[in-house]
Amino acid sequence: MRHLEEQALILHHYGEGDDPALVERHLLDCKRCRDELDAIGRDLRDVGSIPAPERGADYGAEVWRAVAPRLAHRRSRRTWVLAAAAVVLTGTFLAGRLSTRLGSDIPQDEVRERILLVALGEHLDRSEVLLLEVVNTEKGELGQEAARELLRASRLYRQTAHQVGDIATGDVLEELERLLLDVAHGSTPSDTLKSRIRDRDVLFKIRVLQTNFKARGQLLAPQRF
Amino acid sequence: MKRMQAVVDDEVVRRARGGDENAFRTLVETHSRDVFRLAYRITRNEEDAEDTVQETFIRAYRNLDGFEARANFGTWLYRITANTAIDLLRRKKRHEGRHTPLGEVQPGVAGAQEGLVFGHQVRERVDSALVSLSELERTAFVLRHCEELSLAEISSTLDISVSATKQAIFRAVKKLRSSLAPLRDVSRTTP
Repeated sequence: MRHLEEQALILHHYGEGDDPALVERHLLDCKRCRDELDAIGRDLRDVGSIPAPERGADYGAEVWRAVAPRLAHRRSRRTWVLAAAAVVLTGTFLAGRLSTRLGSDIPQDEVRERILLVALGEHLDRSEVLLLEVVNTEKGELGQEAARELLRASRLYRQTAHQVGDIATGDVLEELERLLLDVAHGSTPSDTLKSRIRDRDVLFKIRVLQTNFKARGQLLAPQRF
Repeated sequence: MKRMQAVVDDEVVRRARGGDENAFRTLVETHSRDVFRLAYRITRNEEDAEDTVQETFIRAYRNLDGFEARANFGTWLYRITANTAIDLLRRKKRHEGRHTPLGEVQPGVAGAQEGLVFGHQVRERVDSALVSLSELERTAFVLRHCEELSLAEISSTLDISVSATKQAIFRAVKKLRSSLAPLRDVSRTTP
């Protein structure tokens, strides 16, 4: 008589066998397999329920207190994504570049969010370069055309920030927007612009924003479930 | 079947997906103890289980948009818990060895203490054997043996084939039985 394999008996014990009727028929006639099935049952009973330490009734509240501060970040990111969708759409060239790079298996919200972060980062980079030119240029052209290009995007980002209640980002973008406006008009004396940039630490504030957005981008690494 | 939560409040999940923080808080408070129990059974370590619980809810929150309304929230959370625990164990394994040697079998303890000592030895050997299982074997075994998920559910949870699920459970049971075999031999030979 050919006996049942251990795997078949283990699956039968768990009620997951491929053909339970066949196994049952065999067991009726085969004491050795019946004994083996009993032994499997006894061993797995001894393994038991694998006890875990009990947690109190207020454990859920404790967990909430621990995780709640870490959820705030997503809330602001998520709101930014939804509210800034229009801004992102203006950067379609970016979307094309990034979606090719990111692949198709990443959730669309995440793709949009990463695009937004990249777009904001590039905007801040370009603004920083422009303001550095203003600070370091003695005479001549102050980048009026570049300022005009940056002005529209900056206004959209600033409006979005204020809409979603991100006051700190909105305030920096508002300050940046006023400077860009003055540079674009070309009517404000260079020394006045330089003083405003230095006195109000505008470059420092922009770098802080850049750092924050980079940190957000790093949190967007794909996760497996 | 022992489920994380028998009744899933679809409305709470829907509100949480809509950004209602209090709704998500309700889900955390409702499911935390079950998530901890599963996390502990997989990680075999309280600190790791605590980390897994927090990481599970953070991952769940970040991915609520990916939760399909027709699915069971508890099962979805199981999936995140199991994979978070596996990720944590794999990260830890890269940094440290986790093998705990099996203790010596102590035969021949007479009298009323014998049953207790035998039970203790069984527990000790089962615990050691569980630690020696691979993350996949242990998780598949825990999901089948303790949480009573079907092979199809485990397969979906771990994103592996049903055949691979069977193999993982089979290997786990075989190793657990091997760890208990010396005790069986002793009990057979002890007068």
